[in-house]
Amino acid sequence: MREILKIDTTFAKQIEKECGEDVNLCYQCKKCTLGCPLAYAMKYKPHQLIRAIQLGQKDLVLKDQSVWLCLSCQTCMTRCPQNLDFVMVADAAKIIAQHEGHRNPVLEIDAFNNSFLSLLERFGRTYEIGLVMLIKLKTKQFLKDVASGLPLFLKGKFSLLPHKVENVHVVRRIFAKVKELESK
Amino acid sequence: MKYGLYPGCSYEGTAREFGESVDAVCNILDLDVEELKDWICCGASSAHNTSHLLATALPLYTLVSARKAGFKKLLAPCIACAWRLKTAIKEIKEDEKLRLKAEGVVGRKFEGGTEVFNIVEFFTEEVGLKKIEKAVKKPLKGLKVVCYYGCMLTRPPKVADFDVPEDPQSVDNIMRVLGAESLDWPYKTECCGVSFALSRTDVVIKLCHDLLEEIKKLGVDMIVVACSLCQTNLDMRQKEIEKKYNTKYGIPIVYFTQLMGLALGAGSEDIGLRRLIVDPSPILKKKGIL
Ligand code: SF4
Ligand code: SF4
Repeated sequence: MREILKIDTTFAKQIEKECGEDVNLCYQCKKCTLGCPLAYAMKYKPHQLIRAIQLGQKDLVLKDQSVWLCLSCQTCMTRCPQNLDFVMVADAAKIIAQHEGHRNPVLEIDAFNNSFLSLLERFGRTYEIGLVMLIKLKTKQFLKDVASGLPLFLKGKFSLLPHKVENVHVVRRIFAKVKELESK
Repeated sequence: MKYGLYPGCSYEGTAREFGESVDAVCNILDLDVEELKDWICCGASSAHNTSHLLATALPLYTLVSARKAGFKKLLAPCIACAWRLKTAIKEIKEDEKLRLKAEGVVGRKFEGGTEVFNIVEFFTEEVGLKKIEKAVKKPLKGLKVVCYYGCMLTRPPKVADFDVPEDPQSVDNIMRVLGAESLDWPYKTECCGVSFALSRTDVVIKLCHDLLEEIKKLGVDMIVVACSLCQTNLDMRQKEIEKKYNTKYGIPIVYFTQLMGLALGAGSEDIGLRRLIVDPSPILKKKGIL
């Protein structure tokens, strides 16, 4: 008797549960990848990531940088003939990765996301200089962006201190509740 | 009609001149726009890839505030804010489980009733081109521009529900009404690298270089934008790109609302022209607009 190849569909189902998108709709036309501005930097291109999810290649998707390089420009999902929303799929993969203890392998993007959210939780709003400083500390690239950022500061577009936000307690409460629910 | 304004975090920061020019234009057009007082950050580019619930709960709070304040229509000038707010409305309406969870987190009930507008949608569909045309005092005669829409203004179509996603015309139409010549070009909706500005700057430099190269060929006076991320990336990084690729652009990146302000008779101070890094005033003076 011929052996039947079994495919592990758990990961595809996990993705669907997180974001509602069914990756099996994809028939590999590659339109997503052809329009993707980040495909040049991704080891696995969008259509390949989807294929990998279809085939249950969870580690390949979660441990590699590719999915983290998606910057949600929405070109792929706008063009997909199957109406598959790859941005939702990528977000779901990122969320699952974080829940399962994988760190974002792209250090700078990880530093940006963490700094952004921790400042938001603390001050209730984005605070640009604080954001730049935190990213510098986390990535140890101290001189980066000094030359480009200075004009912004001189033109009054960067403030040194965080803006005062009256309902910062609301933001903190929302963060706390989300953390509480999601750690369950 | 009374409109609520959701300024977002960049309105007084990196997009300060955008805010100033939106305020100036609304004043001249005598529009009843009032800031929503009780708002919080939408979570922008970082919440949605960390927690779906957080990315829904943050906008939900603001949407309920808007309704409480009596705003049936809410203007969100920052394109990323408009995207997050519109996404939240759509998802809350379609996914009852998510709605209940987010309501629990925020401690407020979502009843809908507030429509969110991006800034271009607001001027073209709510205010209308006719009203803008009538208010023109100083036509932008002889000014040659390209309009750059970037990624979030028309995408994702199921959320933005605005203009033609692959070939938008709304900002071009505003420019034409103001008297400027707006050229067609193929990179209107390409991406500038958005939120990678402070993380993977190399990506932003490459993508903006591709855009600037294409624009250079067209020989236009300036690039017109509607998004503060596009503006900041193309303006602030231009020197760095010129250095890296050993070339010269010197192309001003101007908000469409700043040009609206000029054509409608606002002073250059009112629209924050001096805050732009590549200075548009020489070319504007040459054309007799400033
Ligand atoms: S465009 Fe859609 S169907 Fe085509 S490869 Fe990409 S995800 Fe699959
Ligand atoms: S949303 Fe992500 S995957 Fe899709 S085209 Fe943009 S960068 Fe590429």
